[in-house]
Amino acid sequence: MEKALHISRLSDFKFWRTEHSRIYFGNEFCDRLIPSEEELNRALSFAAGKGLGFTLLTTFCTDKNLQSYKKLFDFLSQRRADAEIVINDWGLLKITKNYPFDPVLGRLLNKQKRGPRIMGVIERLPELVRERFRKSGINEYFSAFLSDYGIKRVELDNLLQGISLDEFRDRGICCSLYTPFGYITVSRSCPHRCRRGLLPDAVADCRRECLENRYWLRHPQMPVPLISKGNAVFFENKIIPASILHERDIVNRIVYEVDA
Amino acid sequence: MLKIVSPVTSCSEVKAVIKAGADELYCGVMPFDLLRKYGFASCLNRRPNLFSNLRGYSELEKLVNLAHAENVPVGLTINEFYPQTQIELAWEQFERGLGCGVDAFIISDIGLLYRIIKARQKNDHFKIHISNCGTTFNSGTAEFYRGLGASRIILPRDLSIGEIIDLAGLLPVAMEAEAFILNQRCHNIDGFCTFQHGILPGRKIAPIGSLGSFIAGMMPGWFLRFAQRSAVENELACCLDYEIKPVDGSVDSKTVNSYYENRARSFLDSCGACAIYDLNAAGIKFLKIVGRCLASDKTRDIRFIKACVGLLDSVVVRSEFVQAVQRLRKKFFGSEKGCGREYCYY
Repeated sequence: MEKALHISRLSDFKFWRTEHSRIYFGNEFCDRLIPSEEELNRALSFAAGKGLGFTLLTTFCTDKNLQSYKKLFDFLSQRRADAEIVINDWGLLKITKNYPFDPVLGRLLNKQKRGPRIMGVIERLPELVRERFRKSGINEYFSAFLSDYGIKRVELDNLLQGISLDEFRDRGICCSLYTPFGYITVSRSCPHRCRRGLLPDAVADCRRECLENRYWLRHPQMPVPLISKGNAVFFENKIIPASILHERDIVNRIVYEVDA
Repeated sequence: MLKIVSPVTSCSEVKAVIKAGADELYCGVMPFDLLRKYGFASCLNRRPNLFSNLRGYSELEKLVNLAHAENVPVGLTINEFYPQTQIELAWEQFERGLGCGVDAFIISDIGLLYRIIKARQKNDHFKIHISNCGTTFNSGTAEFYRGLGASRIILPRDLSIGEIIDLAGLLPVAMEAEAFILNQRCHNIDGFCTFQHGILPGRKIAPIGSLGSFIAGMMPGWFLRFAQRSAVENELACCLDYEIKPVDGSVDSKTVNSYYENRARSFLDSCGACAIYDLNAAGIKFLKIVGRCLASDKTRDIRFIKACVGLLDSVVVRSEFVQAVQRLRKKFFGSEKGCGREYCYY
């Protein structure tokens, strides 16, 4: 089983351990956190120095930041043509096809159902419905699309209600499983910089403080506490089911998110 | 001229909303047999309750005929994301909609789009509109969907006016854009949010398909609006009044308070009418009123937006347009719906 370390800040390289044979670097949720060329260069140097595989995390973005990514991809293709790109924006997938990278379907596009409140009712649901909440959105036609677009890997969250992997069996798609955080939702109305109701045009002075400050969100109606990191909200699930670990033909990579 | 796209949830509304000024209609279907099998998880269009949907395909066909008699096209929302267990149900709904004469399908699932494009015949005349859940934040994504047969994108509520103007200027040829204009804006990105609606606190599941929905249909509008507002503000996961505590205890209380205040809530009464001036200038052709799930007066919403669009003929200066729209908002909704920065879409 391949183990990868997932980081958004260069300072988080301190969490690297020899068991991590791959680095995930970048951000999946906010286009204000797209790494600079300098940051990418340092991340690449770290990975090269340790002989690690490299995966660049990308997010959804506006046209302005499509151009930012193009520049990063130009740079990356010179340094690591074997890099993977985690795609969370269909427009970016089109661009990636002009480069030698391996595109990977990101967590924002796999369409797993993650809201933790399902845990309050799941035992009372019919098996057919329960199964619906354990599956991703990769139906057979989505799977055919992935194959036609050269996507051979899908990133999955470790759902509280469990994961069904049947849709990946014998389809030539491998999966990565993220732990300990599973994303639930994301906003462009940054809770750190936007006043209520304002959209990103108003956030001209982002200082990336979201990377430093994380919050627990608790409510009696929510069966587990939520964690607000950046502009996204997550649940925590540190337990990887043994049944998933036995499916190594499908899940062959664990992605460890920095828990700090 | 900007066109108004209005929700409908029953045949009885069709004539009234068209008379009020709707240029296009959209609706969803939640057949009973599906409901029996899957309960609230059966919803194929992100509105998991009966009163937001038509009850079956005969009703859809009747609705389409009524609208076509007035030369008004109808769109059918099949805009969930479908696991393997539901993709066939979505496909069936697409085929049944086609059989009912639906003009356009509002879709976000890549698998469903892919299946449609593979099956599409040259003489098929239906259109594909990409739901806002398709998360079209840039022209590259619009091109991507154009390649999958779409002719319109419905823009996410999460783009600012400046970003919409940029995107509209880069849209591929023959791709139309539709922007949300009234009601119900959430601070989370619709197409990326995975909170489940339809699950209520106290280990209850929303009473879909049960007596609850039937009773709701019998209630007077004012009571339903009150109940709905209470349900949204107290029960949707995105609106809960969370206790907020920093993971790292060293964060100062001012920062925590600021974080708490900045977390916008969902607003049933959101409005983007002031932006009509800019949207029109950007080349947006369609304005979408949200409301399949709202117990609000659809005709009043349409008349309000129609009146705002009408201002474009007579008011040239942007600031005067905005002032006139705000006066109209007050005239149409009085104190029932506020007007101010926290209600603004854009």
